[in-house]
Amino acid sequence: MSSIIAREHGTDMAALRRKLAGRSGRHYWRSLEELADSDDFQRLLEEEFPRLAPLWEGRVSRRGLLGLMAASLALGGLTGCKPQPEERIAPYTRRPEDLLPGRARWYASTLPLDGYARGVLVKTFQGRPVKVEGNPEHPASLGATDSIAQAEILGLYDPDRSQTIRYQGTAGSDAAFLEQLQAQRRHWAAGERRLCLLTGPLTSPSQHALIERLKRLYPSTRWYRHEPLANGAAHQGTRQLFGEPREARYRLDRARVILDLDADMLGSGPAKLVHARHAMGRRRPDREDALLNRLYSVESTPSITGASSDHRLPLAAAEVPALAAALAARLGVPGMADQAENSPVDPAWLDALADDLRRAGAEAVVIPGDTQPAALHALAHAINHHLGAAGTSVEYSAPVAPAADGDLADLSRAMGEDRVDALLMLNVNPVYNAPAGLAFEERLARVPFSVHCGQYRDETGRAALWHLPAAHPLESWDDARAFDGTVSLMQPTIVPLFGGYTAQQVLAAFAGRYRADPRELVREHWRQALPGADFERHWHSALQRGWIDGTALPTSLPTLRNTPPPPPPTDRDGLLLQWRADPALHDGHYANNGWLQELPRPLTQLTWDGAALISPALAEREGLSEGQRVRLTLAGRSLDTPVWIQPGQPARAITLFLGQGRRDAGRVGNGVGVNAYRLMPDHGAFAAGGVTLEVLGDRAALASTQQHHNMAGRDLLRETDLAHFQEEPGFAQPDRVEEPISLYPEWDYPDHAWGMSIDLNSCIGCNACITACQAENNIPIVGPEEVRRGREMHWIRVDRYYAGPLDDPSMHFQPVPCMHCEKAPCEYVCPVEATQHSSEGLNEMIYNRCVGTRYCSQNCPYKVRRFNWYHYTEATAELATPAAAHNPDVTVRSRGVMEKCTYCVQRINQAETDARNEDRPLEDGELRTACQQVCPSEAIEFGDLNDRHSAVSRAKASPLNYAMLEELNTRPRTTYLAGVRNPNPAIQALEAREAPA
Amino acid sequence: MNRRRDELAPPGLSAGALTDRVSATVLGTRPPRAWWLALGLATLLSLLFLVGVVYVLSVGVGAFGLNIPVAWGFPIINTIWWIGIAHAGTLISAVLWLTRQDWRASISRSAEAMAMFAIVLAGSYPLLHLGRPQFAYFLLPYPNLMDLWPQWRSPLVWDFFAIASYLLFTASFLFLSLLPDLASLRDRARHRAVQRFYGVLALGWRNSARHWHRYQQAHRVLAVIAVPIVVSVTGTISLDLAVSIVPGFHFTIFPPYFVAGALYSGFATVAIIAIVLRALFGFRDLITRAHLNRLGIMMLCFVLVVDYAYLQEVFTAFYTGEDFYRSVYYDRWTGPYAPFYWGMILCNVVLAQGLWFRRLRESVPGLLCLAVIAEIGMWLERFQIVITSTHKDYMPSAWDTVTPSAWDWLTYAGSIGVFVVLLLLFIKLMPAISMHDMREMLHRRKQREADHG
Repeated sequence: MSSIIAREHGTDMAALRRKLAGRSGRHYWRSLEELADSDDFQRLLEEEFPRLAPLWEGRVSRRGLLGLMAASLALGGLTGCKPQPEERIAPYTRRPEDLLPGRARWYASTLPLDGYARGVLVKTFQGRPVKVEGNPEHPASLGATDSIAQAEILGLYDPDRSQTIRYQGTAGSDAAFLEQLQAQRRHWAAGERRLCLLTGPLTSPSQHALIERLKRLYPSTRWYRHEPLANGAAHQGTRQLFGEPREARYRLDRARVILDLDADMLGSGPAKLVHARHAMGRRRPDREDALLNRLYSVESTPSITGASSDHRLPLAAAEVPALAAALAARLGVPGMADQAENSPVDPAWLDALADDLRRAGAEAVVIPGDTQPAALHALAHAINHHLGAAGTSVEYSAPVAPAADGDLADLSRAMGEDRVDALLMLNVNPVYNAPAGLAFEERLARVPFSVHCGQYRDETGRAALWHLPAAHPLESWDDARAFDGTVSLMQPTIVPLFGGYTAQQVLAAFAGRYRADPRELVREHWRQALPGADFERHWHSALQRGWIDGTALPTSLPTLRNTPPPPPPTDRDGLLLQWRADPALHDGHYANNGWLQELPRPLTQLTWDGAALISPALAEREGLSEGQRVRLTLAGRSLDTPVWIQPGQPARAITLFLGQGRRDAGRVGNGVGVNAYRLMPDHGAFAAGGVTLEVLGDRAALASTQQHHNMAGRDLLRETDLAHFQEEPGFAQPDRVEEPISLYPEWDYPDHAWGMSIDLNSCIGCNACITACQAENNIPIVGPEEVRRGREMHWIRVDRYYAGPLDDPSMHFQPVPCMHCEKAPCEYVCPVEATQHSSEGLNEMIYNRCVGTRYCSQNCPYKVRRFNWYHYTEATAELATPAAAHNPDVTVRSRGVMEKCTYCVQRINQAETDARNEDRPLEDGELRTACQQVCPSEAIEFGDLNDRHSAVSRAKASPLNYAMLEELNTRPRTTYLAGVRNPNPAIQALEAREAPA
Repeated sequence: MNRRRDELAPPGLSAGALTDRVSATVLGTRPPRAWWLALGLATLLSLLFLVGVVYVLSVGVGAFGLNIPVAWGFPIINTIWWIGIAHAGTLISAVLWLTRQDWRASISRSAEAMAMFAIVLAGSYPLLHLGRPQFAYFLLPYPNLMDLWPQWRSPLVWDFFAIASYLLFTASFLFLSLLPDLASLRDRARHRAVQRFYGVLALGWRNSARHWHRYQQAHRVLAVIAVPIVVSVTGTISLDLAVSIVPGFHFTIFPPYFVAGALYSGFATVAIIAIVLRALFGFRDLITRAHLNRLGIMMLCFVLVVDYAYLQEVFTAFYTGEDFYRSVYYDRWTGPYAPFYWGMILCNVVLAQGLWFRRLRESVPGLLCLAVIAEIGMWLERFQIVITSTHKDYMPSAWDTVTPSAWDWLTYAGSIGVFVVLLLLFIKLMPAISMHDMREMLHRRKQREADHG
């Protein structure tokens, strides 16, 4: 735009330039948005179109008006133009090696969650990232990811991301920002004013080094850390016990008896993927080298960990420390003797557990939950120490995240006392997720110079003086430590789409280094930090690999300094309010991500609007039904929320999920659910008593993807206990027919015959496969209204069934993709042959042949087919996935077409083509479906059934193998390995005794 | 037997007088006020149908209350309902003709017209049902470069042919039987334009013996073809359900069961039309209580078959010993759609027993009530078959319910409006009672009287 102005009105521009040059900095004139407020700019606008000037004053003719409108429209487009530096571009004359259009390239990178690194491989097409996979070599991934990592792709292309610098809510420029920053820096350096930093739970060494540098430059600087989902209890507890904070690292591959104390070790925390791999890897009784473990869960909110356990005990959060103390007393932990009688649960149950732990000795481990108080952590580690587990099944290292000067409460206090003159909030959203008692938003208004840097102009971005757009992790140069301290490198796979800044860039700017290259900032740090001469080679191989070798923090056996403190006294009646992270939205950062909003939460199967979980007993007492709205009041603050009756919820506990109720998340996440942070106590506890519940008259329509919770007595999911399995290994195949007959001729598969096996022993129900499938196969988001109508589009669903008593049922998961039946009921009923059997055994959908009679779905006994009721993928659809996020190898389906799981046929074809080009046979394991690849517990095997030695053939030869609805003679290619649990016989006997009574 | 009570036409009615009376309804000056009123209301309803169709075609079938697992809903229910109604028309005009039933003469024309319009509506619903109606021609075996054929194993392809051939057949049958009457109208018309209109349609019918001979031949051939069509079309439609493996659909009894149900609702529709014609044009002496009585007897006959099928279906479900089939019935009886099942039982099993009483069959309000009950009952029957079978089939995790949307109801009610509009226009433009059939009947009666007397 500036060039047009200059050409047409050289003299005016020159005058303006002179004027501006004299008044503000060198770069100031370039940003017209900034100028918009000035009189000069108004005058310039009028003079820009001298021929149109009469129109402004005089009467406008019809033609004139139309012409003016056309011109405005055309010029309106120009305001979107950004002055670009002059660059030469040229097409490739010699193509870079291995860069083929249509061929994916993979880059190792890192996605942080709560500051902890998860190593990933990013799949890109022509510089466009489309899919995230786990990095098999990375210690925190082992090849797997979770739903959130999968959904980062959608987050990257989210059009609601912040795109400009904002000053007091209007568009600003980096020049203007830097000018103000320059002035501020002088004050900081002189010690006249104090700068404070607020970050999330960061582990990045390079960011930490920059923070240290800031603190050296401006000695009064304070760094605060805000962890919305943790309260530092783990470090506090270990400090009480060992005299110094230690970070526990659980080696579940070495553990035989595992006790999870409200930790949800499989569903939360930075090591959850590793836990899932190791713990579930020891639950395969049909293998010859089976080393079975036994899982006990004591949990205050039903979680996937409890559902996968052999014994699950529902217990309100506040009572867990007492249970741990009673257990410690039974095990003879010093100083605990007087706690033995104080058990909140059946002492016989606890005795049996104690016996089991004692027998396992060093192969036992107790895992305390991060939402529990420090006392429980101290107790749990004392038990570990006492059992001899420390050093074997649990190891201790120094804390991975460096210690900050304080937490959010400290900062808020300082702000209230006007001790904060400047505040930089880096990738945090405290206005949304600070407990209401901290009055953060009001106090933020008292900070004269507040800067927020984040991917979204969220609640905090709107409240701060300045808002800077942050780069997405897939656009950034950065680093982070994994749960074991391994430094993982983040390299961008795309240029920042909306011009965001990395955290290092912002910190460097605060230190006086403006417009630094983000790559250099990270490289420089490691050039100094990494010893050895050959940095370039070292750096290059680390980037290629995604992490730096040998950076895991060393472990050591800490010495016991103190006995654990007694558990805090609690009353055992009255309602207890508990807070948990939303399994999909996490702390709320991912609220604008449609894939995560629409992901059925494990157990509740709720999508979109969440609800407070209540126990069946409480529902009965208060006469509540699902969706009924209640008012929860705690310490004078109240929250209106619908309830969801959760079988297995401790009777007196009400669980609220954090991460919902965003005000300024974006178009997808705004106003979905309620903000549970509002009720949280200021001191960072995740449970609080003294809550009152008042039933409101109205109901909310919740969108659950599964309406029926029991199996209606059908043997769809088969499971037994170890004793029964050993006695009758073929229990899952009661009426197996060796050679079933059919009216239709048999198929012939000369090349491959693809098949899948899903191990119900391993599946933890984390739903990562659902998001992975959605990302891989361009599955649209349909929105809460459509989910309520039963029209969700996920190709794979994870069914959840309850069995046993309502208050303490056992919980079971069963992933259900398309069964790819040999005698598929869908195939013969399609009038246009739009669904057919392939020569490799797949049941294939031909989208452009489908006319949408939906007969195939009616006739599918597994109901795995999904229909495009509306044009969900249209660019103008309310929740359309941005075109850039689509996998180019998969057709985007239009309205009126049936779709379903294809066994990732695009991957099969790619692998077959590759093998053919290289003139070699396709190896087993070379080809993996999206759901198989993402699975943290390796529950899914996929491969060629023609190959007797393939993993899937071996799985199908297991005595546990069974096909769902076998009696229909559909002969599914997706079969299941029946579940075998390994309960403690002593507890089983106990339960059997109680059952009749 | 009381002879007067069984009279099918007034004694001493001459052929000429009959033709005068019937053709006057077409060529006479003004239709009755009630006709206008009915036409106005029905036009409003059919406009709603138009709105519904345009909306559904523009946004997609998501407008209907459907989901996974209940992917079939109102369009399928209504197809079966309308095609069932059409069946009685063919039965009356062909089977009753072949068996020389005199009482069919005065109602055959309206029954054929009813069949015609009902098939048109039955044929339009599958198009609305399709996700991509623009590609409906994929179901046709048309020559194409990719050598693609429809899949002959799919009952939907059979269905397509069944409905298409039925439409073709009914149209030709209706037109053929109209020919002599069109010629009569041509001869009696006063205005040139009206003469032209009927003259062109009459295809040069001159009432010659040769014409009559050929007419009789063609009519007989078509009537014979019609007999299998009566049982096969609805039978084929029932296979859409029966061929699947869905518990609640998969019953071998479906074809005869559906035919009986179709004829039951079809005769009910004929009864309603007969009663309306009596009131509208004063045909009380041509469509007599004896006609109503016979229509009622036909309804009774078929509803008893339907009731037997209900019993047999339940028996089969429980006799299989399969939990899936049994639980479909438990669900129909006690589940969220139980009111539909019990409504069906109330209409088709309990209230339908009123048809046993001759006084009810012969009373105009009585038969009208029973006929409307039959229509409702048969619609409920199709609803509970189509909706309740997949909403709770094999996988409890996939069980779900659907609520019919406003568009479902709109297109359903609107289609009744379209039907009524077409029928009202037809009886104004064409003789509502077949004049030549009536004359033949009168002639036979005279002969009989001469023989006896």
